[in-house]
Amino acid sequence: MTLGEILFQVQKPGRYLGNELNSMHKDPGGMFRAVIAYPDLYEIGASNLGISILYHRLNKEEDIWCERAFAPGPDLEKALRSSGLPLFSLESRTPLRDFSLVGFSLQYELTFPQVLNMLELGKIPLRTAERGPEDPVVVAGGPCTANPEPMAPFFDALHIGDGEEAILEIVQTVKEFRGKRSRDRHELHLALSRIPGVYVPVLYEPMYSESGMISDWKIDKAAPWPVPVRRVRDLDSAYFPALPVLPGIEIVHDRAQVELFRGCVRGCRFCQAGFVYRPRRFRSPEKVVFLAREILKNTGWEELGLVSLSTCDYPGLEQVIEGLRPYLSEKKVQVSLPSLRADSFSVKMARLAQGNRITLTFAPEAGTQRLREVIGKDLSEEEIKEAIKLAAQYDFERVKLYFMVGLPKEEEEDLEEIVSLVIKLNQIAKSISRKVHLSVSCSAFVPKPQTPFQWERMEELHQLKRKRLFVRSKLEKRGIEVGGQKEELSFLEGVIARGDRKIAGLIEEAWKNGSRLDGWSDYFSFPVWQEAMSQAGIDPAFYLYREREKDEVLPWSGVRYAAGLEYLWQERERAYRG
Amino acid sequence: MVKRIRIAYSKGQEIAFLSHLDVIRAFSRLLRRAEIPVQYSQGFHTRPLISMGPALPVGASGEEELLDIFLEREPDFDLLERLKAHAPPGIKIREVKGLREKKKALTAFPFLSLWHLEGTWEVIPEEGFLKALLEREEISVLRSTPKAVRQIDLKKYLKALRAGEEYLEIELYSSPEGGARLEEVLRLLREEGYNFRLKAILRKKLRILE
Repeated sequence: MTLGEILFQVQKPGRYLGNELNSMHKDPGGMFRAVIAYPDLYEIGASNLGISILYHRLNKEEDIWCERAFAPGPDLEKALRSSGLPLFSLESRTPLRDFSLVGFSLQYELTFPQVLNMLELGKIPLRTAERGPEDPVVVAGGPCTANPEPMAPFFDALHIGDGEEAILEIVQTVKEFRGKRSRDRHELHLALSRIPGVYVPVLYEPMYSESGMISDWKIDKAAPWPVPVRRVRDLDSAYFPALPVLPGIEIVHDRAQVELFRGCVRGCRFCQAGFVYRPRRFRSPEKVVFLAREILKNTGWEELGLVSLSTCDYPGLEQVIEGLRPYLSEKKVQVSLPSLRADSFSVKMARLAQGNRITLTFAPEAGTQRLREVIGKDLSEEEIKEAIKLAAQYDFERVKLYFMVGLPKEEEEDLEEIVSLVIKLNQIAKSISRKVHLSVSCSAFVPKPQTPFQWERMEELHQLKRKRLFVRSKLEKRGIEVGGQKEELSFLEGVIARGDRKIAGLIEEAWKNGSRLDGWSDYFSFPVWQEAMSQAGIDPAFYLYREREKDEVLPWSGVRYAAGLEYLWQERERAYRG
Repeated sequence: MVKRIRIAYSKGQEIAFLSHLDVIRAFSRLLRRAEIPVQYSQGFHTRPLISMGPALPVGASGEEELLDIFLEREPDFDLLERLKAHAPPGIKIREVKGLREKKKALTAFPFLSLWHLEGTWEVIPEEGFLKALLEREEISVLRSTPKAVRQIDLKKYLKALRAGEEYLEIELYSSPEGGARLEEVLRLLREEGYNFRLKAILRKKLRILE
């Protein structure tokens, strides 16, 4: 069967076209060939802003052709396997193994098995140690590289931090490697390790004590340790694509996106993004307005997303919205402001930008002031009430509230207070507007590397289930819907996020057992992972249910972010002092 | 003054796998990029008003597809050139013409479609067989919907069938009340012993029957 015939038989073949408006097609002669691989479906991957930045940044270079590859749907995978055809890039339908550089984006721990799947389908040896002179150089970037160890055996290098500058240095190094007759991969690895922000796993070998903890690292003499995070200093001069790809099919974030700022002004102790994207760097309002207009003009998108970790903390927000308003209303373009803080300023901004027909989402995270202070969520009950009051006055129809259970220092009272807070907020809202509809999302807290809670034990699976059920049953009696991530997913996210190199074996077994696209509830199977844990000899309790000592050698100790170990520990102590 | 404009365009093989809805979205964005003064729908998620001709199935390309848009004012530029310049890969704008405003949507007309299917035959059906098939009193096939399976008669839809080395041509009538599906015609032939392995679908002609 040819690829064309296969596409006749799969669902949503529009995922695999690769000739979208503003996609890059070049004459392959003399080009350095790179592919950015995203271990999830097109609908997710094509929405990712980081991918878009790197893709267009590389293609700006005349002698580089960068293409894209996404996870195949289960039906395409089956057809590829039975026909023996390799997984291909979208633009030129080139097998992944024929690229010089393959770069994966690691956004979510549960996508890791799909990385192995794409490597295998692309006919690339899975492990760095198995790759020879002709095989591509396989690298990764994205927020999950905050702990590079669980996927260490599969990558020649992992990049830590902002990629838009480092990616060109990585290409240059790979180009030199490909040009040499010897193509010695050890030489390549040493050269890659000299690029600031690049972690080369083969140069660092963890040694384990009998307890299973890391006792020490065997570090190559020529390699840096720890690897410092790479940061772009100034967003105004940093590259940002004004001609992004316009997808042919509907994707999850089907809109123009402009990044307002990187980093966060808040210091929520549970939030990995808040720590790993430090320091915060603002794009100027003039530049935001300019980029928004250019992108809208070049794509025809009907919606603009102004994105950041906490949009209403952007000092120029009003200026941007006012500056864009005439253009947006003339062109009938909607604005979306994700990541709003639950205060009245945010509600005002949301209404100004979007009108009141959207869902407002707020994240109080915890039910009591005491617990919000522990986790560093700087938000008072009064502020939340004011926000809800205003939302109801403005006739917003839907407000969604995010909470976490299983937080450090959480007591039963905190759960009861989630319930009574939501009921109070609902009463306030209903007393003002009949239209307003409150819903709740309640998910498990997962301790993440590079945060003050990285030493914490995670709450046990059955407790997490009980806690969510408690909140849910109480609120659903009142007619308030409660959703949230399945606890088993949080459990696995917890195992992998703080995993060491041994977790690579678990990922591999899970993939072999058929784990794919686990972020999609139709595909996720917990038994597949349980089986994989016993096959790989992984005890989840070791990774989840154990409070780490201050002097424990953590698997991610080879990377150094702006917030260092000492600072994180102090933050943790501050959290518990109250 | 609202002016109705009929656009003839082709959906190329390279985007055959986009759905009807994808094509509508592509046009809505093309109209924004090209800054065409079109009428927008009312409501929150406002969209350009587009009246599409009969849908192409996923996997099909079309040589002369149709859609109507409604202008808010007389454009002070060459509409055809502007649309051509902003068309995305796979869509070619062939022709535009102004129409007197009419309420009737494009889908409210009966159409005649000429389908050219590429593929391979195990046995090519002979002309005589196809002629006899079309002359039957009733040409019934089963149609399954999510709710039920029912028998339908293709006789009133099927105008002509021509088969040759690596192709099958089908002329089909359709109307707002219904039509035949290509897969039903293929199934009919398969049940008669003529299996066609489909490789590409092209609607060569689309004619409005007024």
